[in-house]
Amino acid sequence: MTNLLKTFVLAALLTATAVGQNQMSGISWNIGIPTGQMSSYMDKISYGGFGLEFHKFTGENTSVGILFSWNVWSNLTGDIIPFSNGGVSGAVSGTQIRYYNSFPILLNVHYYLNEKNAEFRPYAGLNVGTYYILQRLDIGTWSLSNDQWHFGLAPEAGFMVEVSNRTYLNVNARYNYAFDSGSTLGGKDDNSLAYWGINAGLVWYTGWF
Amino acid sequence: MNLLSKKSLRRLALAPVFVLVAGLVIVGCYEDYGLTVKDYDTNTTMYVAATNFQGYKYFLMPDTVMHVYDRTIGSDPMPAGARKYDEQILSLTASNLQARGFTRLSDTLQIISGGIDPNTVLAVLIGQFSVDHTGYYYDYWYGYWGGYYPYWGYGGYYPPSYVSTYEYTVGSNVTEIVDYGKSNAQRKAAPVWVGIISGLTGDPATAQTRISDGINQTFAQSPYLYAGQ
Repeated sequence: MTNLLKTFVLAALLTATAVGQNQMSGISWNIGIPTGQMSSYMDKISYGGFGLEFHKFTGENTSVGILFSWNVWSNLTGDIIPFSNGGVSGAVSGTQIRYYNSFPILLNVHYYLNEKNAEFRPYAGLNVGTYYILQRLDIGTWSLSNDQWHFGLAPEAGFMVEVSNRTYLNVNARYNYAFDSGSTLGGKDDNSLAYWGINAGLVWYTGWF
Repeated sequence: MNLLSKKSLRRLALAPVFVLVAGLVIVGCYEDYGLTVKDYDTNTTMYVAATNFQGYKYFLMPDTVMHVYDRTIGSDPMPAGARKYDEQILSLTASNLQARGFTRLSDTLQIISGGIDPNTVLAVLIGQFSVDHTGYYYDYWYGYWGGYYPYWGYGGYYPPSYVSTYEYTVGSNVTEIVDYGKSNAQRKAAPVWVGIISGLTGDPATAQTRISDGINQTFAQSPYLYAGQ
């Protein structure tokens, strides 16, 4: 964690003399908290995730942008897995390692309060796009996996606090919802997914393009 | 975009920062759970959902475990010590069924002499087999920097990748319970319940305990499997 903090500070210092305020880029550390149906398979919080985001201001208080991120969950459990197929039912038990990987690629619009040069800027936004979800189960000497693309939405709200010239600490909460697009690893018809994202990182007023 | 401008150079300078951050996150993501041999055991049970198990009161079970192996390999292809746990398996299976209210019959003659309805009798068959798994994989090279060539002082260079092989054997014990009366009537087995325990072989220190735990677990996760009054 100390190395991670040093890296973030280094990134902030490198962008201290950034020019132009029409674009904004950012990087974040993402925490994922499963909810709903997802939490029945994975009840552990993900501390392993990061995000990259790019925004272009369309006005003093509005921007459009794109977001790439990744969260991974893993959990060791001994829960019994019941199954049913036609006229045969049963159960499987044993040590399991359950995984989820979520890769959202989202377009977004944001609305910011306060003026562009303000030291503190709250904002709210909506992300729309696709989620690539990889679900995996390791049990015994077997590994089963299932991957699907989903259409998804992610409303979010957060704030930016200036830490250096044109560089901000960025913190937000994002509710990720990936709509049903097929079946789960266990054969359930509805593979929709929902999780809360708590994200913290840096954004700076300079673009890549 | 002018790749040689100061702005572009600053942007490019940030690229390794992003890679470093991403790497730190990725490396920390997959937790090593320190699994042992026992963690690779699985217990699977299946049953015909329409079965009324309370309609059965008795069971028959041979005093032998069937071992399935490839007779074409070598002069004595049966794995050494394969029958070492047979008595334990037979005893534990019988005691689990008896604890669930089923009465053991010594042989089929008892059905006739005792005037027992064959449709209230289950037949229990136990078999074992093992499967060898072999393969290869490309391992990571960076693990061999530094300590591998200590005499060089600074570690030295190692080829980008190398191939490793793996081999392991999975043993399985299968307990099949069939409807004795229906099987006789239709001249083919009519299974109603199957319990399978599987695990890695080659660890005799834990085998006895793992087999007992596995058999007990297959019955524990079958709460519907008990005799009628």
